[in-house]
Amino acid sequence: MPDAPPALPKLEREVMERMWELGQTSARAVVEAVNADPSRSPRAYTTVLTIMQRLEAKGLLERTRGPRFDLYEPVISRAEYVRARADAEVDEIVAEYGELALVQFARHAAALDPERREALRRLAGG
Amino acid sequence: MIGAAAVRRLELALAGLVATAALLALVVIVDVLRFHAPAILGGEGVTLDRHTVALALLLAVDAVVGVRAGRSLARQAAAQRRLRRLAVRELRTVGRHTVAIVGGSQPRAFCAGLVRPRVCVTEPALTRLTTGELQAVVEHEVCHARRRDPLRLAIAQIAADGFGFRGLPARQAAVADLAADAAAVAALGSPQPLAAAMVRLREPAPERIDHLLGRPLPVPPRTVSACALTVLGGLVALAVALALLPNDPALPLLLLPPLAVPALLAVRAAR
Repeated sequence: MPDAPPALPKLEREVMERMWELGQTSARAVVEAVNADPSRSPRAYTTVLTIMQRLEAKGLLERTRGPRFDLYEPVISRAEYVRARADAEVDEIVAEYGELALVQFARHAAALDPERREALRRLAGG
Repeated sequence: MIGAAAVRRLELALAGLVATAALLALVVIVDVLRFHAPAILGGEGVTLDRHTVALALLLAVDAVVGVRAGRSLARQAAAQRRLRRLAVRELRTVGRHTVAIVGGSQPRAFCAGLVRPRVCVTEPALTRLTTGELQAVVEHEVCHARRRDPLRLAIAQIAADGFGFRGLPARQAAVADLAADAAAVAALGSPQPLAAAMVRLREPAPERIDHLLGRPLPVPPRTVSACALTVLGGLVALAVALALLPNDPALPLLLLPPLAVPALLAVRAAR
């Protein structure tokens, strides 16, 4: 997975959390895990399966065909996902809101003229 | 290096533009609310004169500005929410300051947060910069935090989106960078580490190089500041008079011509 994994909406994140807990598993087992919390209204099997297919399309789950049912497995670990998301977040903020959203040291500027570039390099060289 | 007085004059020129536009909008709103609301809202037995029609048009412009500024504000708030949620990997002491180390694919150092700005450095920047360069960059960003530049830039962006002053945020950022560069050079006693960091991270805007090289910068003369302050004072007086006087004083017609003189002088001197 060379590109940063996408940010996940609430329900996709919830299913992914259960997948990271369970490892390789069936959609039926994920539905049971998602509905284990009695304080929330239960999710339908088809809802969870659709979410899992969406996660597979996003490259976060891998599906293995089985004789009776398919098995799904996370492509990256939770720690890898969190780290990759954190790495991508700053770039995404700049892409979405512009460089001025961050008061950052090195903003994009027009190409320098050769005289100033040389002067800067001389100054940098001490 | 640029002095505090020159930075103030540069910032006054930018803030003066925003404040003038905002005060003009306020004058229109106060005038409408106090003396022309029934006519504009179509009350019975009220005749529309030219003054009222002009005010109604200006009020429509104010409404457009308000909607655009509101959208910009929502966008700024969303960006700030995301910046607040950035995961901090560790806190590290650089020189006399504590900085937050965050993830990122690019080497970056930045200052984020409107109320309590903090300095963040991405992990790639730590590996790219030498100790001295990192110190220079952090001193630069700490100056942004001290000046609350994220807040200033957010206001500049909202004003720019509302009134259509497209170049304003970039100019505000440029002035802030000059002040922060001056602080970094003063803290390290030499422009060399800062220049080296610029070479290593990304080429800066030309005026920052001219500044490091001690070349003169186009700072507006004191007459511009004086003229800008005169215009702002006049507009404040106008808004207060409209809010307090019992009858419509028709002050805009009386005061705007004298205010136009210093405004024109300021524009001419700033060229």
